Amino acid sequence: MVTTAIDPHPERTRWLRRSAAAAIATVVLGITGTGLAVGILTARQPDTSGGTQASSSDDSSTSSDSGSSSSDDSGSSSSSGLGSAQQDAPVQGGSNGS
Amino acid sequence: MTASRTWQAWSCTVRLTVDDPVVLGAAAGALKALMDRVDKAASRFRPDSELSAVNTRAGSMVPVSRLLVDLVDVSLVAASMSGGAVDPTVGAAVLAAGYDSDIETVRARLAKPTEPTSPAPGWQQVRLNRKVAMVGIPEGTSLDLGATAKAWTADRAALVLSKRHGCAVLVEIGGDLRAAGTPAEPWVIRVAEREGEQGVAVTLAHGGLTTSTRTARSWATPGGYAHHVIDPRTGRPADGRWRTASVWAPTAVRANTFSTALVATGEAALGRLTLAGHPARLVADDGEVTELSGWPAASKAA
Repeated sequence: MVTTAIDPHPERTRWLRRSAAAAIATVVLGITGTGLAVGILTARQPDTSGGTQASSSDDSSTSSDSGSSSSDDSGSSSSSGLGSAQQDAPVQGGSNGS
Repeated sequence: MTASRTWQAWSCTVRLTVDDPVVLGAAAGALKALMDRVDKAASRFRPDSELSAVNTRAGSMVPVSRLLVDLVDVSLVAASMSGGAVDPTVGAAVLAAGYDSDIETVRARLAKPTEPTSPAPGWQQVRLNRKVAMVGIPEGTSLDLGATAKAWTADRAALVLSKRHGCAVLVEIGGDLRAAGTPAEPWVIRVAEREGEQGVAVTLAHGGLTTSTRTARSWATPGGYAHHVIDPRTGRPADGRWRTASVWAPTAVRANTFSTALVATGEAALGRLTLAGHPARLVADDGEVTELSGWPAASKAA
């Protein structure tokens, strides 16, 4: 005798199958996306193992500063920073020969 | 409102100026700490410095701190930028000229004869392994980072302190100045051949401004006066056309490289300066002044 199982709730079963498929797809896409993100970030991360970062052993003034000392041009324009001084302007610094 | 603090270190005047008086004390403390670290790493007058260890162990690679790696690195960049006019391997030549101790000690003692000299070995001989922090020089070679260490320190201190405290900062170490941050008004700077002398006044909005001269750190020898700016081509104190050079550039290291090169090798360094287009003021042996590349024409006697 052959019996055929009849689902009393076909709509509910279909919804559960779709939900399961969506969950699996979300997990797969999440893992893939995370992997891609990690890969991209890794590729973009410079190799700092051979850099010339200043030591921060006993002076906090350099602890947060990184990068090669020879390229400290940040914050400076290549245009000349010199100008003419007013006659009565008080002197604030000196560049004396040394 | 600005506030400044002045003290003596490295045989020169150090001045820190900020446009936020509240942070002056902390900023001055940080600058002194940085200078102390640089001194321990790169002073050739301290037998316990890392640089002394490198010079003593010439012929082998010596492990050093990241700080000394930075300082050697920037000296090699300066040498390359100047075509060898600012060469860190002039250490033996400086010693041969008699500059073997603090400048006040050298001046105070009896003049002693200079030793025979030879051209500097050349900055290309320096071996620097940044990854493992090791420095090596050939036997018979001695490093002197005096040409670039002050400027590097001024650059680093100005940038770090300006960023940390969020204000405009002016760091002055001897003739090397570095301005960082955005001051309400550009700093007014007196440029002079020697401290206390009449000079010219300019404004400095940003970047580095340095003055190199052979008139300041000089001492008596049996053959006349010697000074500390060595021409690497001969190994002797420079005797080029200009006795003093002041240069502006985006950084103090870069400005110092050109100002030192102009005093060390004279007209040989002029081509590179012209190509770089940095404003410069040159004083010849006879006092003739030459202003180049946009040096403020209206600068006045200060």
